[in-house]
Amino acid sequence: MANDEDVRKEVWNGKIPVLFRLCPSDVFLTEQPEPLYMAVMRQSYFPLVFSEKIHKYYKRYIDPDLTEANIWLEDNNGMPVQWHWPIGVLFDLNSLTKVDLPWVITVHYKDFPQNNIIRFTSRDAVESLYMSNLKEADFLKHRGQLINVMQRHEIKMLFQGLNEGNYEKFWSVNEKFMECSETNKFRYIPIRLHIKHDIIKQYAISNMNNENTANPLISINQSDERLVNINYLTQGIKPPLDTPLLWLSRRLSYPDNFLHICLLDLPS
Amino acid sequence: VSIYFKPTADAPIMKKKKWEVERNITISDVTGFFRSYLTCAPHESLFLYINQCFAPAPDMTIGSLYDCYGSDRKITFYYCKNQAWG
Repeated sequence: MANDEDVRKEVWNGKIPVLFRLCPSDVFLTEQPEPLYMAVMRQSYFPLVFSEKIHKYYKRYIDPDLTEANIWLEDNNGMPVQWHWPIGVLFDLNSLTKVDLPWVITVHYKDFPQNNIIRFTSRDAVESLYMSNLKEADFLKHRGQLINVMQRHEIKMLFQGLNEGNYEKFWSVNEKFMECSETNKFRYIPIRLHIKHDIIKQYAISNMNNENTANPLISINQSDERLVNINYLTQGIKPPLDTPLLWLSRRLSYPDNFLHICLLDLPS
Repeated sequence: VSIYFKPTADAPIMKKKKWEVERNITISDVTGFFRSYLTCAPHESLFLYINQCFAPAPDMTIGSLYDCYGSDRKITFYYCKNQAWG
């Protein structure tokens, strides 16, 4: 089997081809902009992408009074993109029904869907969202003890690494969160279950006994045998159903330290 | 489930601290209700924290959070108008 480093690198380098198009009614000039093609990092968040590149490209086509704080994104199903989740999670949810590449995203500058999505006014807002998720995961794994004793600059390095797409920078710190030995066990494994068209569920699976060798869905509900054979998607892959949960958590978690699992539906 | 609110820092105190809510309401529902209850102006921010530590995601349901962080058959939220635990 490939070593940990290879798996982590592979996951980190995952990119999604996206075609951004500006909503035609937002174009201020008579000239329509060309679509923008980008390979975006699965691990990243959309607001980190648009603040520099997208806005820079479109700003000369739009009403000069509109700023990047007005931007919101619409996916290929006409839904506002829930950009407070990692890009990979959003794409996986979308690709459960069919995979169309590139992923077409419409950029809007008007009519911000205030009630559906969070407004990110700055990069700091994304950072604080990310930190909050990380703290939550660390609370579940180590009662939050790890993050509390960490130096400020180390914590900063995580977000910087994510922002710059710098694997070494990110993992040199993230390594500490992922350490799991006999003396320093995860208390719980943090999981978020995203079900298409449904609410997001969050689970903390106890890691105190060593029974978590099976598929995460079984760990979530051991009494439900129908879950045994369900394929799920995380980080764009369908892991073999007997992949141990702890293994998945330590290698395939998103940078927020949660394992995000995407499902089309739960059996009814 | 039962939810319990505790003010932190400069936050105004609520008369009724304990509420019974449905499992499937989300954090953004709670914040929305809470803002109107405390008559928060639109420009004022309101933060909710769990375990004096982190802020839950807005689309998370109370039921899910209760299963992860609840104790004594209730889940406690700390609220404040300034960011307390960043």
